[in-house]
Amino acid sequence: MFSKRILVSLLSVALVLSALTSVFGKTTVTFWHSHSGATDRASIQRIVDEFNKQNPDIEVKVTIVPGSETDVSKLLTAIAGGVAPDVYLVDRFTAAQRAVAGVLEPLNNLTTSKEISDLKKQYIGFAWDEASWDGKVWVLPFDTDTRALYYRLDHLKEAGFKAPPKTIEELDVYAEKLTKKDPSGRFLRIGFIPWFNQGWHYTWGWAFGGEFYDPKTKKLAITDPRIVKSFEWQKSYADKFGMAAIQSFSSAFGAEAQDPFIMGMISMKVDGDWVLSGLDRFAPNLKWGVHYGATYIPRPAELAKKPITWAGGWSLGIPKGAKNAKAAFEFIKFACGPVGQKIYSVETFHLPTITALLKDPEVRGEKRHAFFVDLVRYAKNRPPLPVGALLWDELTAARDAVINGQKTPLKACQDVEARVQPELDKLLK
Amino acid sequence: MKAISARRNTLYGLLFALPWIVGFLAFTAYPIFASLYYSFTEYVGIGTPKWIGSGNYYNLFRDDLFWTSLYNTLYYVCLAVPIGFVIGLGLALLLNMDLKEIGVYRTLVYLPYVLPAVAVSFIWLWMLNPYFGLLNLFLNTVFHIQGPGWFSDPKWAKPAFVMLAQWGAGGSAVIFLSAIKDVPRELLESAEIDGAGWWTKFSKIIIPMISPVILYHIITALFGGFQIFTTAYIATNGGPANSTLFYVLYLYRNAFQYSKMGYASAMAWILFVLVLIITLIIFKTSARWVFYRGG
Repeated sequence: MFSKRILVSLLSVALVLSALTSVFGKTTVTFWHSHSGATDRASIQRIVDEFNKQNPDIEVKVTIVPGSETDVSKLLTAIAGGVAPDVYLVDRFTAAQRAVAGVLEPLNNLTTSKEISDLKKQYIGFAWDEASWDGKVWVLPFDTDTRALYYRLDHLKEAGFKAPPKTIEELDVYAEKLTKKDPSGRFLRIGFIPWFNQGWHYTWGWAFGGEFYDPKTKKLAITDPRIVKSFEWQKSYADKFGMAAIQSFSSAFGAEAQDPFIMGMISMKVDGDWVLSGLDRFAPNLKWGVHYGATYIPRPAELAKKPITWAGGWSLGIPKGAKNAKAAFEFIKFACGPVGQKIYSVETFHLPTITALLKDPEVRGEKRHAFFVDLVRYAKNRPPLPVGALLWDELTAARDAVINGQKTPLKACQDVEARVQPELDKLLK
Repeated sequence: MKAISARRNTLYGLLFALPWIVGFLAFTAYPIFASLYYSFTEYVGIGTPKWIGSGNYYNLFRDDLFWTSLYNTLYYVCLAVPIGFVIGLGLALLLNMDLKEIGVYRTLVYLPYVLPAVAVSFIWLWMLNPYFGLLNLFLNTVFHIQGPGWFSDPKWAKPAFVMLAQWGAGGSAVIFLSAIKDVPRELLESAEIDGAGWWTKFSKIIIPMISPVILYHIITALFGGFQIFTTAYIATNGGPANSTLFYVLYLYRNAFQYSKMGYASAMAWILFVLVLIITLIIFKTSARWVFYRGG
């Protein structure tokens, strides 16, 4: 009898307590991302910790999940299973595709149009464009990146060049002069391989003055003669050096310490700002301004006066079915805001998408990093289309087919349009 | 009385098997039939599928990459399955020798088979590295020929995967070995007395006696071959120039990268029907070459 009374009173205390914690307790926000690399991961955690400190009523919990720029299978299955996270790190150029696929919650549903337009003002234009689709904004821009021509200054000097190449024509001359072979014909060093590292189809298409998409007619423009020409030019390297020889040479190396640029096996390459931290880590004896440098991506002579590059980057979005969308929105505003972006840019060498931060001396850092920060203003962005991932893969396949001599540049570009345009039309309807 | 206990036995049996039955229905049978439905719809993976009839199938047959991926996969299966059979059987014959340390060899041959495909892919990326890889080093020092780019060369990438697949030959070798061990000694001995050489014994006794196991091997190897994914996903991700874009890899891209779950489901069903037809043909012809003891 007595014990029963104790039990009842204990139960009622427990009931009251649990009711209290749900009123005063914390809201948990689950945050999934796939940046498993040590530097980026630690920096993202620092942003989360800072947010948790400033917001005692919300607790953001990070989980590293498998995935990549275009692969979000883990997220898809979680949404389908009703266990979606509250925040997901999305490659920004796929945001439109995720929006159309119904993976993301439009941010307009979570706040006023006044706040949306205030948010818009703080970001660089292209980053906001990539985050928007169909008149709504789906993610907030996080970081960005830019690409440039890296060159080994020691190689250039040894070959008698005083400055890095500025035009495509100069680049071709440099590339040949810097290339070395052993008596059996095996490459000891290659001056330049256009498609190596960040020398993507987009890189050269834009460098040659092409445009991949016409937003007015809503048509892809891959057969733009300037893009076709950029493929032709890449093919000339395959012909000049021998495709099999280049491929086996370039695939022999890897990343990080096995990077052929670090090993001195390749003299020039197009690559991004993030390479700088790797150079420091894996080749501490290579010094900026002594052994290597970076300059604008060479363009055909008639365009060379105007620098060009392109920018990508990530963003934070709220998946459909998120349980704590409101709290999640608070977090992504913080992480993608001045405080979060500053932590990330300073710690990881990635670039911010907040216009004001481009002038911040701490973000700009040393001279070589400031060079990449300043490139942002010349940056193009991949057309924010709901077929972004497909278009990328098709362009890559077209490039491969051209340099391997399986298709002519024009045919390859026509095939990309023929495959991707119908998919786009279907989604635009 | 007897009938009741028999019925009870069935009931208990079903109860014990229930976890498996539920799992099978929920996680295997349901997805299979759901994918059949999805293959007739436009579906991104979440939300509501939109019925489009045979649209996916119609588009697939006009999709170049579908045919490329099918060709790549058939090429791979046609080489990897027979070569795997010869190597597996050859290893089994070697492992059947009367040696004191044969146990050690059997372990060594089986060992690579237990490694996960991801690790194997990375090992082979290095072995086939055009400049620093062991294979090209061997070709260069012994035969003085410059080895190809393997995974980076569209002409050699598929053969490279065929080679990589032989890494797991130890698995089939062990199965063949147990079948060979099962061949009745008296048959072999009486053949020997009649003056049969090793080839006659091998082709006239061993092969027919282990033919049911050969049939099993060929069928499972075909299934595995058509489903090649992990190694290709890791070593080349379909490149160069789509030369290793295998069927399941393209299916995966459609499902999870291009948000075309319906299209991917249609691909899955085409593959299923194709493999089913091939399997049926093999079963039909097997009556002519498979010998069942006492059957």
